[in-house]
Amino acid sequence: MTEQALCNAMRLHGDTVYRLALCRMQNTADAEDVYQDVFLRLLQQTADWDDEHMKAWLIRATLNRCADLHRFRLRRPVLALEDIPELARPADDSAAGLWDAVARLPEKLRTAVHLHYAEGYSTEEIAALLGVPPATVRTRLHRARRQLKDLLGGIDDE
Amino acid sequence: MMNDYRKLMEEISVPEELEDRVLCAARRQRAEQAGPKRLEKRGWKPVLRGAVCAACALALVLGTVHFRPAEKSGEQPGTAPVMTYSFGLTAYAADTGETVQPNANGGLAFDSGSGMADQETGHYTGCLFRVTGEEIRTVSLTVDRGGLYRSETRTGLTTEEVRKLWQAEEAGGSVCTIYGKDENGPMNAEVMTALGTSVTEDYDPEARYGFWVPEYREDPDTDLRQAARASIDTFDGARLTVTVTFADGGEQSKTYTLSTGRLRVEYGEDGTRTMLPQLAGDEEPFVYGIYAASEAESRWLQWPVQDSRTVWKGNPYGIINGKLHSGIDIPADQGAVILAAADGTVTETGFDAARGNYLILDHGGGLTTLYAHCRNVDVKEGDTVQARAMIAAVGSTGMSTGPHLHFEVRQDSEPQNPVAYFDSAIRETLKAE
Repeated sequence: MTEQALCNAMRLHGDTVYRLALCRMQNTADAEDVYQDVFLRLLQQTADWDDEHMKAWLIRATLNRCADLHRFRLRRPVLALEDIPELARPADDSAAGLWDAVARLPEKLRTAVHLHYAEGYSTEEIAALLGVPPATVRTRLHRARRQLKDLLGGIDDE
Repeated sequence: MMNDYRKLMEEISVPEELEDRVLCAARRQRAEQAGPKRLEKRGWKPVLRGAVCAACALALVLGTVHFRPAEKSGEQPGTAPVMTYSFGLTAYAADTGETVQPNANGGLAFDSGSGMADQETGHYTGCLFRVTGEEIRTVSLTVDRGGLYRSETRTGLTTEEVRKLWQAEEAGGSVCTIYGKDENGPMNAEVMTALGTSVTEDYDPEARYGFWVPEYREDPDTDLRQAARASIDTFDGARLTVTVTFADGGEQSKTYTLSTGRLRVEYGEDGTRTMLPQLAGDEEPFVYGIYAASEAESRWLQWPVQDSRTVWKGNPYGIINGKLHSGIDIPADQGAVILAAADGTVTETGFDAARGNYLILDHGGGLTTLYAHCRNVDVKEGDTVQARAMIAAVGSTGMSTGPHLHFEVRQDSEPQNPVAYFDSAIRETLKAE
């Protein structure tokens, strides 16, 4: 892959990779490392992908890289929303609360929530990305929603 | 709530210096490897642009064309000049090369894989359609806003032919995406030619036309998707007129009103994607796109319940667990007013264990609507009603667990998706809950 193609890929999917890494790692430095690693790996790829395949590859690579880094950590701290320097505008309380609630979800639920709600993937697509049955993804989303509702103190706007 | 999460995530973007950091690292890595030289830069350009555009296409591009298939000939000879031939539009799916026929109310969602946008040549939205029909001689297309383009696929191109396409591209007026298995083998090309707001040409059944925005401003600060959506919105409220002449000298013209929005997408078990001619709810997968409705041919209905704009998504229209749910459920308060969806005649009222108190209206042309689970029905068989006349009250009679209206639309006794029969002004106010 050429450098120009790499730029292009970063422009198209950089946010997807960074947001997912941030959601998983809960740490901006780690998220940046994952980001760099994933795109350097992409540069080594020679396959002629269409865009959706490239995005799927990037998501899988991001998740794998996050999992690698997690092996070195026993407990995961939660990142506060206001500590993210790249926010487009200052976070309000409800956004900070939501971010925190999602951050406290178990990893598997959080990944499913992020891919479904932030990236708009269907349960079938997430199942393909994670290599698990669609029913499992649906269960994870369901459990995640229930836990979020508990964490957010019964705000019922489903 | 989860919509808020998406919005929240959209606020977060990659730190500026990070891209540069990766590029530096990439250059270092490259220098260390000093591997064999790859394709020269010029050769890559079209592929890159293709990638950019595929993103727009996948994220945003799709259209729906509503049209009612022509009535069987001779059905209404007194009211309209007898047309020997007729024509219509079909959606064209660029990825599979298939054309898609219309369904309920002529509603039809179409998908594309090959749009393109850049500052110099404008935005080729990738919303493609074909004109179909018998014995068509010429086709004229006019759009009152934005523009149109023609899209062709050329296969098995030699290097020389590819070079010619690039030359043509540099001369202006057309853009192309070149792709192929490897750079030495035969290449394929998508050639897109801008046509302006109006074109008349000889009929080619293979020709595909798409919507084109001449002025596309690329602003590095805005999100690619947002920018493309704003660009597609050029066509919101625009009108497309299609006129064809037939071999026997006849001429026919149809005008379509275009609107844009988040259209619902459904994923099948086998991973296939189906676009539905209805707006997506907050948490539903969608594709941003254009849809069109034939002004003369679509049958539009009025919303049948006063004071409720909700469609219950727990039991939508369609096949669920192998059983067809032949209508939509509209939850409303007990006693809420049920309105006639269109002018018509009451053909049946009654009670049964499943539907409770119900009535059926006939709107002519084979179109009927059914209203079930009513608390009471205020009209009797044979009555003539006008659109939005009060005909019944919402209840929970029959097989029902709470007050709601079960609303069905049938064309020639075949159940249709009711949502396709509401125009965009109504659809935009609907909530799925």
